[in-house]
Amino acid sequence: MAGDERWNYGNMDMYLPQNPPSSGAISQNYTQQTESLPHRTDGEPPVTQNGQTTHEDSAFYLLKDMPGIPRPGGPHHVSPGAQGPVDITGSVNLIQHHGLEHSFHKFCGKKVKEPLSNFLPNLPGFIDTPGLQDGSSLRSLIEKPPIVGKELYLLSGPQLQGFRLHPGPIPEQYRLLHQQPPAKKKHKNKKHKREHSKTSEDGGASNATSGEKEKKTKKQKKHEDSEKKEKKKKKDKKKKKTGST
Amino acid sequence: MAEKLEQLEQHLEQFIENTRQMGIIVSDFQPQGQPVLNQKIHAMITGMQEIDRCKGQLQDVQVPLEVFEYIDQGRNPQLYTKDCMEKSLAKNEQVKGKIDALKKFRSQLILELDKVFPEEIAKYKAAREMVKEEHS
Repeated sequence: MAGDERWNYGNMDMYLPQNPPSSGAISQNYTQQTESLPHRTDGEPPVTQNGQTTHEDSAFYLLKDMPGIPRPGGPHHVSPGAQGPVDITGSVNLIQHHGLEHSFHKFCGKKVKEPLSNFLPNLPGFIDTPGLQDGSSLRSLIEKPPIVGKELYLLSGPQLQGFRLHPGPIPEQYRLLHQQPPAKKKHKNKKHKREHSKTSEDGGASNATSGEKEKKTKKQKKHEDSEKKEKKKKKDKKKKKTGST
Repeated sequence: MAEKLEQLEQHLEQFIENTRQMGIIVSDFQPQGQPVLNQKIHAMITGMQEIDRCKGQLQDVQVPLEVFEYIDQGRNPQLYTKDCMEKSLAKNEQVKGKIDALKKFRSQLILELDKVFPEEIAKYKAAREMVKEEHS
């Protein structure tokens, strides 16, 4: 047996002997064993000097499961492992077998975004925060189930009187409950960056791409210069104010 | 089943939207908004009645509890499905490796035993063929 074989299925080396013994060693061990154990002709496993049966010591104890060989428990004894061959085992691609290839590629082939808001984009409010923070976890719903089984009736006129509210805004601590998370900013610069990276990947040897690059660098410089000027103006204003006081 | 789930999803979204609108009305309440608020309360109760009616059609739907942990952490529940798929594939590969290793070991063992005990292995092979014929 080749002990240097390596499997791709995890750490399978432990299942392969690294230095298998030669066949001669096996026969020597067996002859030593048989010399110590008395030979039996009735199909039962050999008995040690202590009088106990040693199923493990018998080299052919598995043959007791085969037909035509007398079984220790009698003819009606059903031993484990004597069943027929099993069709579906782990050697088969079970995902393919159960027709889940499409689902596998859908979930594992593409990137699934982490936040819950990507799964439920239409839900208002902050849903990406953990449920334990505001007591809205599903686990608490399972541990302390609400009262169910009662019928739901529409409220009558007198009952609705209880919902008459005073005019005016609510306290600030309750205003955050129905606030929306900030809308995701669409970064237009990303498109320019992608184009820039694509041109750099292509080599940028052409004059057109180099011309575009020069234009972009010029634009960036102009933008930076204008920002610097604005900052200088602000500093000058501050100095004047402090100087006047 | 998909239609029933879509119907429930629609009812839930409508209910949530109604609740959101109620929150806006209440956040800065004006007296002329009272009839609208009453309408919204009615809509909320009818929404709850519709959701309650949906539960009878979805008794067979089973949801693993581990998904709730993902949702409670604010994570996408599709990640749970993805993790399950990946774990099952990894386990499948692991078991296949074990099976292949044992098959190789078995064939090598029979080969070596045949060299040492040719008569016994011949009996064993004959017995195995008998078992195969019985099961087929």
